[in-house]
Amino acid sequence: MLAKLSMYQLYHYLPKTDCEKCGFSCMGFANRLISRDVRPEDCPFLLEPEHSASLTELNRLLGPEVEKEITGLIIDQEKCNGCGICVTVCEVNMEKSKEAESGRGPGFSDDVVLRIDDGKIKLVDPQSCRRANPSSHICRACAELCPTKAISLV
Amino acid sequence: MCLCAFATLCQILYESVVCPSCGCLCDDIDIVVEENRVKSIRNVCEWGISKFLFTKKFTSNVKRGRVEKPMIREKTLIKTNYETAISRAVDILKGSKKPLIYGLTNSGYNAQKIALNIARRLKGLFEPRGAALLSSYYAAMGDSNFYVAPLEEIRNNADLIIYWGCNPIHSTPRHLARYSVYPRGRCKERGSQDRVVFTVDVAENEMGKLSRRFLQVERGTDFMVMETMVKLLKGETVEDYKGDIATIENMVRQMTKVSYGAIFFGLGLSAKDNAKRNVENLMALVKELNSKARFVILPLYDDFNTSGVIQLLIRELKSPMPADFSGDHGAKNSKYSLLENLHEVDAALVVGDDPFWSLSSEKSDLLKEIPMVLIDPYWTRTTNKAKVVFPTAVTGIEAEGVAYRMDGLPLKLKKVMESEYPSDESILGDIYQRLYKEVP
Repeated sequence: MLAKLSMYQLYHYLPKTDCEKCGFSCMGFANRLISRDVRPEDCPFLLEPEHSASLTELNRLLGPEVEKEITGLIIDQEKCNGCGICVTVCEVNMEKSKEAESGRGPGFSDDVVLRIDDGKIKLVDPQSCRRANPSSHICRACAELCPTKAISLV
Repeated sequence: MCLCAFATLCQILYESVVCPSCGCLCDDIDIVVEENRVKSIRNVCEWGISKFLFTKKFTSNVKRGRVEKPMIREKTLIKTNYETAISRAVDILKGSKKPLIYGLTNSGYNAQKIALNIARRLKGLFEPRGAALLSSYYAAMGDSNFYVAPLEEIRNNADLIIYWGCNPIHSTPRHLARYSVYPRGRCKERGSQDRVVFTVDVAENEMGKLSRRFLQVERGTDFMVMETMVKLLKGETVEDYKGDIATIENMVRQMTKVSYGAIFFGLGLSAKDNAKRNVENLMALVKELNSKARFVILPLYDDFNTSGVIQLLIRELKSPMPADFSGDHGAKNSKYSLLENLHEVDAALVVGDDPFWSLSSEKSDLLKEIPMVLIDPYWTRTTNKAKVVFPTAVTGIEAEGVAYRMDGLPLKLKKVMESEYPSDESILGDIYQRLYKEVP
């Protein structure tokens, strides 16, 4: 389950020295960690072996999910009820699967962005998501129309 | 179905399986079964997965307790063999003067048909769950000349969707995405951007946030809102109405602008025993709306084959009312619910339902007093009160069947897993065969 992160939660694992070797104060670095503009490894302090526990914990909190970094979508599977609205309204899904366009779930062979797997929403192909392409317009359809607020944006 | 010698060890992929959880009967479920267990499942909502994994609704990590063996009650429930349980059930049913056959909304069409034949043979009562609201609706539909549309047509054409007394996000989770608001239709190429959604309910819920207008009504006063809407549509004044008249006026203005509307209603309209009045007034509203544009009205079922049992009653008895075979006039009955006569009933056969959960406490108290035969896959509150209990396979997962979608489309339910339990159809068949021989 992915919980929504707070800036202070991440700041706790940073050196709090405001050395600005990364280019920001520690609080500014925490802010940019949430928006995925920087990575924990960009802080030289955290690369020292004695602070590897802090680095590991930060990486755990930020999650190994590639899709989150690429698309900025945070999916809370606890809240999802599998209604499939996001699958139907996703423009890329519509292009890739004619079935998704008319409300049917995508077939097994369809290479879609979002899919309902085991009753919960899953981002199966984050690279194809419109949000992953910087030249494309910012799409918020899945997050805005989710009735249970299971999808949020970074 | 894999036919090899190691069939139970193979991974079997079932495509386009019909989901037996709610009245939507989604027919796009893909399942991978390995060692007779669901390994992965796609395109199913949270309720559907609870059904396929035999867990509690919306809680797919809590298993539901299944009845393991047929049981009969001596001092407590004791396990017995199938034949003994059938004999005990037949003895209870044939010894009663007016048995009640109740539930059946989670059974296949053929099982429902056998149950109706049992009621006919025993001269008993036959009442599906939630009959009060649905019989009112189908009776009113029979008296009117309203247009009936399949869900696909609503998806293709509707530009106004109204949910009245129901919350599809909980009762039929994929309804919004598959058939009503969000899918793109032939004439609604932009999906939800081409449609307007209204919700009328007693409390603001998730649907209220998704809707253009949300109208909050006091519990049991829906018929007054409908009356007010009809008056506004006719151009009359509505000074006597005390509710949120501004929202109602706005909704009515929008209703007159659309070309195709669909109203879905739910069990909320049966609150405070006002089902008949609510449905009559809703029909009056739809009649008035139909003079301006095409409007269709459909109930949202939370059990997967509620539509099937009503179709059966209409087909066999030419009436959607619950059947009463006890009189001299065949099955003729003008009451929308026979549970008012529960004090006359002296035995009950309950199939796939938990009346001690769904009925009011007065009616449950009456049911406690009479011997009850229960056919249900799961251990429920009713199991503890029953005299005879039969475990069954879950229709649509462990047993085949036919179910009717909420718009009346029949769909075949597949068997995707093997089960040690007999289907409810075969149990009812065995009971009927014994009754056929023993009851004149």
